[in-house]
Amino acid sequence: MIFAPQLKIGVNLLNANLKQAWRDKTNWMTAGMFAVTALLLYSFAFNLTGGLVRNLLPGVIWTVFLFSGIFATAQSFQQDRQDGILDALKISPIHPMTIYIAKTLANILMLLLIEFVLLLAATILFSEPLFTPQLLIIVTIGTIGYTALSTLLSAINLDRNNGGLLLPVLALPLLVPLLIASVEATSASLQQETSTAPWILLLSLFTIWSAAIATLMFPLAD
Amino acid sequence: MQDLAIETNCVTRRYNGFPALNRVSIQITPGSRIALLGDNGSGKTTLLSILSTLLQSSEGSATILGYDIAKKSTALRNVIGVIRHQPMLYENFSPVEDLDLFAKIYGVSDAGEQIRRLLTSVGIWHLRNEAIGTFSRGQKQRLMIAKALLHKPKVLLLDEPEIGLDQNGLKVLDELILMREEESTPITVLAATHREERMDTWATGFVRLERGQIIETTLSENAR
Repeated sequence: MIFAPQLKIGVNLLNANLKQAWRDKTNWMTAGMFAVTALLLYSFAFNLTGGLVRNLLPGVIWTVFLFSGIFATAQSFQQDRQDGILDALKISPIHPMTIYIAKTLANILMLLLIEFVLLLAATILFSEPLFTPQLLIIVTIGTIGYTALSTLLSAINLDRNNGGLLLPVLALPLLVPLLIASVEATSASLQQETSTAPWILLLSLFTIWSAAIATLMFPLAD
Repeated sequence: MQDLAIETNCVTRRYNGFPALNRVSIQITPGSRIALLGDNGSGKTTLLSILSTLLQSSEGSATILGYDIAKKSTALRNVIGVIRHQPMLYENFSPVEDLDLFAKIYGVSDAGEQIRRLLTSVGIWHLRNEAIGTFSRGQKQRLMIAKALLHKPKVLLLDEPEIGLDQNGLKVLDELILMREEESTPITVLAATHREERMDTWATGFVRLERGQIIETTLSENAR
C-alpha cells in the first residue's frame, strides 16, 4: 500500500514545515501583527455594547481572519522555492499531494493558533464570550476551508513574478461562499436566535469541496 | 545487450517554441562517469532537469535503469541522486535535521549512522548543529554531496558539482563521487561541468552540447 509510507512521510514533512515556520516567523508575525492591530482599531472605532456588538462581530472577526490568513499563506511555498527545497521534495519519493497536505496542515495549525489568540483578545475588547464550543467549531472548519484554497493558490502563484499580488485576486472571489457561510454561522451562534446547523452544514460542504479540489489540483499546479 | 543506466531518445525541450534541447539521444552504461560539457545556455541543465524529473520533455523519451522518467515512479526516484546548481537545503535547519528529514523520506534504515558517516566524509561533522543559512557556498555544496549520497543512489545527476568548493572540497567530491572506488553496484555519473581541465582525472567519456544539440561525444568502452 502506498498510503502508509506516504502518511509517515507526510507526518515528518508536517513537523519540518512547523519547525520551519516557527523559526522563520516573518509571515506569521506580519499576519499576527496585522490581525491584532485591525482588531484593536475595530474595537476603538465602534463603541459597541450588548446586542449591537453581536451584529457586527461576525464581520469583524472573519475580515481579520481572512486577511491575516492571506498574509500568512501567500508566501507558503516561496521560501521552499528559494531554498531549493521544493525541488528536493519533487525529486524524492514523496507524492505531490503529500507535499500539499503537509504544507496546508502546517498553515492551518499556525493560523488556528493566531485565531485563538485573536478570539481571546476579541473576548476582552468586546466583552463578548467567544470561546464557545460551537464558535470554535465554526472557526476551525472555516479556517480549514480557506487555508486549503489559499495554500493551493500560493503554489499556483509561485512562478508568477508579482510578489504575491495575484493570490488575493484569485482567492477572494473563490472564498465568497465560504465567507458568507462563516459569517452567518458565527452570527447565528452569537445571537442564539436561529439555528446554526444549516450554515455549519454549508460551511462544511464548502470546506470538503475546497480541500478535495485543492489536493487533487496541486500536482498540476507547477 | 547490457542494460543501460541512462538512455534518452530524441529528447527535446522547447521554451516558447525555442528548442533549449533538440533531439538529444545518449546511451550510458552502468558505472560510466560522463562529463556533460558546453557553454552557458547549451542545454546541460535542461537535460539534467529532465532526467531528474523536475522538467518534462516536449518530445522524446528517457529511461534511467529501465525506469521511464515520464512516470516519475517512486522506484526511479529512489535510484537517482541529484546535485543542482542551487543548493536544496532548509536554510534554518541544521545539517543533521535536514538530512534526517530526507533520510525518513527515502526510508534510509540506518539514518543516524549514515548521516554521521557522510557528514564526517565531507568534513562538516563539526557544523552538524549549526544553521545551514550561516554556511558558506562551499560548505553548502559539501552538504549537498552528502545529501545526494544519503539514500545510496545508483545514478548521480550533477549540475556543476564543483561550484564553491576549495581544493579540499574538490578532493572530497573526487573521493566520494567522481573517483570513488567501485562498489558491488557501480554508480553511474552524469555531471555537467565547466572545469574541463579536471575532466581527464575522473570522466570515462563526455558529451558536448551546443545550442541544445550534441555536437561531440567521446564515450569509453563503458558507455556509448
